[in-house]
Amino acid sequence: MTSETSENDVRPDLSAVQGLPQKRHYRQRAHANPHSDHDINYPVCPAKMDWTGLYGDYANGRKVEFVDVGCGYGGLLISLSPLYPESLMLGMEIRMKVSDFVIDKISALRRHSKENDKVDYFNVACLRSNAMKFLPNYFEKHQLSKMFFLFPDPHFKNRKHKWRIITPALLAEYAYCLRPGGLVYTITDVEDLHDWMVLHLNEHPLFERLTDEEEKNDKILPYVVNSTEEGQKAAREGRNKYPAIFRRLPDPDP
Amino acid sequence: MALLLPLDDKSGYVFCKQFGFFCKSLVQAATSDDDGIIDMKAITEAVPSDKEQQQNDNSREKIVFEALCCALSWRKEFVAVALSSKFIIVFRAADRTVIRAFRISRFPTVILFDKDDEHVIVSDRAGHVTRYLAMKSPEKVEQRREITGELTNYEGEPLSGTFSMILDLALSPDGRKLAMADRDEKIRVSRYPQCFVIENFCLGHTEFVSTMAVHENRLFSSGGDATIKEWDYQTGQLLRESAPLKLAAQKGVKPIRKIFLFSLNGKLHLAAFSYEMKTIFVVDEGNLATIAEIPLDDVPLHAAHFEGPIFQIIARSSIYRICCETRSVEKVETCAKLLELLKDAAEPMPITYKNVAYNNAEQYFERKRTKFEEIAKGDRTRKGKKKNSNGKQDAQGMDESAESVQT
Repeated sequence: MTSETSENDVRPDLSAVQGLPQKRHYRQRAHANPHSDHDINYPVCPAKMDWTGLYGDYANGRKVEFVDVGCGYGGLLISLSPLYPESLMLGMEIRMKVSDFVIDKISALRRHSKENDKVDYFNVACLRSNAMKFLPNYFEKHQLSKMFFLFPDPHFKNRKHKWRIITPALLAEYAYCLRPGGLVYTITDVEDLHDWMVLHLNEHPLFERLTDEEEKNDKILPYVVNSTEEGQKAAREGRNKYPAIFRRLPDPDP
Repeated sequence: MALLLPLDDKSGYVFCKQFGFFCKSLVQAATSDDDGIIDMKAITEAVPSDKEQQQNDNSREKIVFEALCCALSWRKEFVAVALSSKFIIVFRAADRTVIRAFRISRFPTVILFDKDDEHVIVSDRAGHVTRYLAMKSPEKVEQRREITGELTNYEGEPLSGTFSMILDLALSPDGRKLAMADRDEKIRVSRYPQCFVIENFCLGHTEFVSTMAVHENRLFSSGGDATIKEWDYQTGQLLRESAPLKLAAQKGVKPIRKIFLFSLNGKLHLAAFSYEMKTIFVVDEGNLATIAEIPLDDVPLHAAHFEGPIFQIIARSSIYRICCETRSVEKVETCAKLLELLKDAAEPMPITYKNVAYNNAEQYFERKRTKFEEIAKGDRTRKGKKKNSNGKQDAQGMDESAESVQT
């Protein structure tokens, strides 16, 4: 795999935007216990979710299609936003301060866009939630077309492997939310975690890996590799990055 | 805790601590005849273990030995009991011949035979659903992966997993769908045995879901919010729901732990038991309205449906037989040995309501507001640390640790 440099920065230039939040006020440790009963307001079911609270009027007539699970500081969302203006994208992040940073950042971007009579960044939003527990509360069956798992917590210890974001149990839920043909993107700078994610996605009957050719031609992959804070950091520190893309297969005949 | 397992309208088993008692008749629970008693501890102690299992056994030595859940095979020939010592015993109902006794890796919560009686499906506190051969031992137990991806040396076939405790399992009448109820208010309906295909979620409960009952293509459920909800489990659609089941004078609700469907005067009804109240709620299936509240003499540890309107509950004082038609409650004649064991039987498995004091969002936003006001006024350094009067940085300022619990 390639070791990228920051010259491959694909992030949009936001230097003209006023009032962007400063990361130093939102720093938080990299881990959260997904088993705790966090103070999260999740809807009872997808029909009870008021998406206008996140996207304003832009949510009318549109449904969330892309989900970035554990979106961190939101680099991917903000980079992809101008590319897919008609698609609603949601970042889910369990850490309160980090999700709050992304929310504040998107607010600043939207404010800037509105001042210029545009609707840029109204298709992206961030939500503090626990994707390991509550995905079906937000999304209907087969609603999503893309799910991203970028630089997830590696949970190095053997005892904590069960907390990893890709497990056979959770893949069944991702397959429920994804439409057949939908894509799962994974990337990490930890080779062992990459092997784990590829192993379980390969073994799952509802996912298959894209061919090398297909992965190479994927339009979004460069953003997966280079748009996030973690991706930039890995490149700065000269660490390899291991991306992979999987397709959600149709359910087998019953 | 103690468990009741009816075999037919007359006989059944009672499990308490390490013993299972065979009861020939409804009105006479367990003879004092030792022939009718099965000693589950003795059976499991005879099962050999490997090194990993030995360690697991040792770590659980202090646990009270008891049966946590049990099931009768669909052809009513075999009984499966899951134990707190993390064993499963399958025995022949008629003569208590042990068919299988084997170890599992975690604390079981529900056990159920699949429709061909080939497997038992077992859920556990960690949210795993696994199936095991019921009638014969696997030819070879190889290292396998759990549904969480971890390696294990225990036998079994992983089916499904949630991030939350599984509290009840139910199969569709054709045995091709498996419903799993969990502590996170969800009912998940998967194909069986291809549980990796989740067909639906039935979402609507606002607290844990602890009990389900299936009738044709409808599923009834209840739990921590004490409402009964009726679902089309093929679509996940909520069809109807009741008001919370509670007594008029009662403040708040108590969780419903067990619901049963039964026929009364040719009409379908539901009986709902709380393991915290001396009351049975009888609910009309037609409109989900409560038509009777039958007072009990004691709080049930477990409830079972025998036939028609006949139920039994097991409590610390005795076993009781209840007729939901005449609303009569009768004490069942119970042998002295069982009565003695029941006196200090443990509580049914506790289910906890959520405790969300951790990571309080309101506190965070209050701290954030204060912090940004201070930054605006210049009371903080560039790094966001609070300045003391002498201008030195205050180590207790808003920093990374701010979101850890500060009460």
